[in-house]
Amino acid sequence: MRSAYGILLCALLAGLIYYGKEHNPAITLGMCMENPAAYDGQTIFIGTEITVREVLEDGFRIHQMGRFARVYGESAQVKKGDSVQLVAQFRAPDQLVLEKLYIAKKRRWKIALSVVPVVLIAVALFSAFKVDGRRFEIVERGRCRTS
Amino acid sequence: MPDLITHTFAAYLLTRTASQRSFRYLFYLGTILPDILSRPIYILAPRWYAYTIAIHTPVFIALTIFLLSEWFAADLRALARKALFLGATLHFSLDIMQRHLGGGYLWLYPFSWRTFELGWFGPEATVGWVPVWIGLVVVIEARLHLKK
Repeated sequence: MRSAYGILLCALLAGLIYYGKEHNPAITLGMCMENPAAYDGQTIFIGTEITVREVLEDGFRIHQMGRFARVYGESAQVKKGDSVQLVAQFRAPDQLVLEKLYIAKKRRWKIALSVVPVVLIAVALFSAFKVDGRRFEIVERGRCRTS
Repeated sequence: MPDLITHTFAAYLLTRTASQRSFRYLFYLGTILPDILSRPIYILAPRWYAYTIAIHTPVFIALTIFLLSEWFAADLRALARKALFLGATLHFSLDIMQRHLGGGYLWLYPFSWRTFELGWFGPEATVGWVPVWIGLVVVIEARLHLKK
């Protein structure tokens, strides 16, 4: 019963992941660049792992997952290496006209700091629980189990 | 997401006086669970981003908690489920307060792709408050220690 329940839960989780990948209605930069004519003039949000590679007088160049795109717009606040998110209009074949910009100035700090509680909580959990190898389940440390 | 120190600090404030250490630690795990499941993939392998869309959603996390709690001994299972649920609820409660440029989290996934957020602060805004949270923890712990 327990294993059937576990398999059902795993299947549901896998289904959710698959549905998210296949049916996400968002238009990505990758989709635009693979089929520029279809998305020419489309306003898109680009928010996944984008860094500024070069700052220019009338904009900047961004990099996202191996792709490069030229962004036209205000560049005074942007620095090379910044993590950014933007709303922009796609212009075929690989240009963007900036509408809104967010510079995630402290993103690297946020990621680095976030590692600390993960380690502390892991240590706390290991101090409070252990895996009972015979029963293959998690039990509290220091508690006598007789049944 | 706010940084995980902010998430954990909120969990600390709510559970510090809870007598059951197991509950407290599992609550902490619940409060970081949505991010530790989704963000490492998102940050280390952004090409797999599409596979992480579902992970940081209430339905996915709820099912994950059901699955995780099955690994606990029978006498701990209800406690684990409750603590993880409450922790994850706290996580999403902080996340909904944020303001994102491109919408927010998919609260009703897989039933709807609509997003909603309160827009009170940006995703990186809490980073500057981390020294304050750490200072408060030190003060609270010192006071609790002196009371003993």
